[in-house]
Amino acid sequence: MNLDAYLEQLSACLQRYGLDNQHISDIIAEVESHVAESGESPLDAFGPPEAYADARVTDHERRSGGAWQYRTFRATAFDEMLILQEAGQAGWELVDVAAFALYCRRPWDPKDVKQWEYTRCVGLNRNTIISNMLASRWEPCGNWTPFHYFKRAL
Amino acid sequence: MKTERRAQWLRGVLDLCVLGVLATGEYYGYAISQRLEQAGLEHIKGGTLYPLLARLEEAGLITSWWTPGEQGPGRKYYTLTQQGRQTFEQLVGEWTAFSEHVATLIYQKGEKINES
Repeated sequence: MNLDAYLEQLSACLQRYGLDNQHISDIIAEVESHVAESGESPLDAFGPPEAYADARVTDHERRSGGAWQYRTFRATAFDEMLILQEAGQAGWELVDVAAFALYCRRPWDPKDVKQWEYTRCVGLNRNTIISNMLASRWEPCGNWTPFHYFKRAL
Repeated sequence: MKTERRAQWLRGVLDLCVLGVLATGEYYGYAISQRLEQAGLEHIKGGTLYPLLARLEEAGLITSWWTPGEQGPGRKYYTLTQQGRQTFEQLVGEWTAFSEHVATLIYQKGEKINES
């Protein structure tokens, strides 16, 4: 992976994890500056962009305090179920949905972390959809017309 | 020596070592990693160093600023804050005491512990 591709992926991951632009440009500049001096490949020096982004965002959130860790996953109606499946396995609970954004939370204490499964219903008849899903123990966790999202702890 | 064990030791004192480098002046990231290597420690990856620097900075122990590069990317310099210097001196005291305790145990000679 060349430097541009690495920085692009790192930046996309940091954005997806909801970090603000000021911190993102700082982290990107650090990587760029470091490999220019050391001559290493960014992958050797910093590891896979997803993992490095996750470490930096987690670090930042941990210092912000509170019992819950919050994360925004950027997503579209084309890829959000895959993202939710991975996030749910990693203990992320979806609490709300907006255009291109999945708002999730997870307890800091590993003892309290649960895994989640998700499903999506498409339709305009919101009330009927929700009551049908509640009957099979699916809890509504946000909608972005006409997509309705439901969660269930595993 | 097994690199795994060295890595484990280093994890406990890397923040102290970085503060030690910065106690001697202003350094940018890569220069810090070079100083650590010159001192005999192993190569510290950027993926370990920069998150540590960010933690020290958010804890108020160090401060940083960017300088523009002539060509290509600039350099981010770090230095100790007043609070950082106090914390460093306190940690040096604690580390010295700790390492002396370990030395007392492992360098003892001619003593029979299980003498009955």
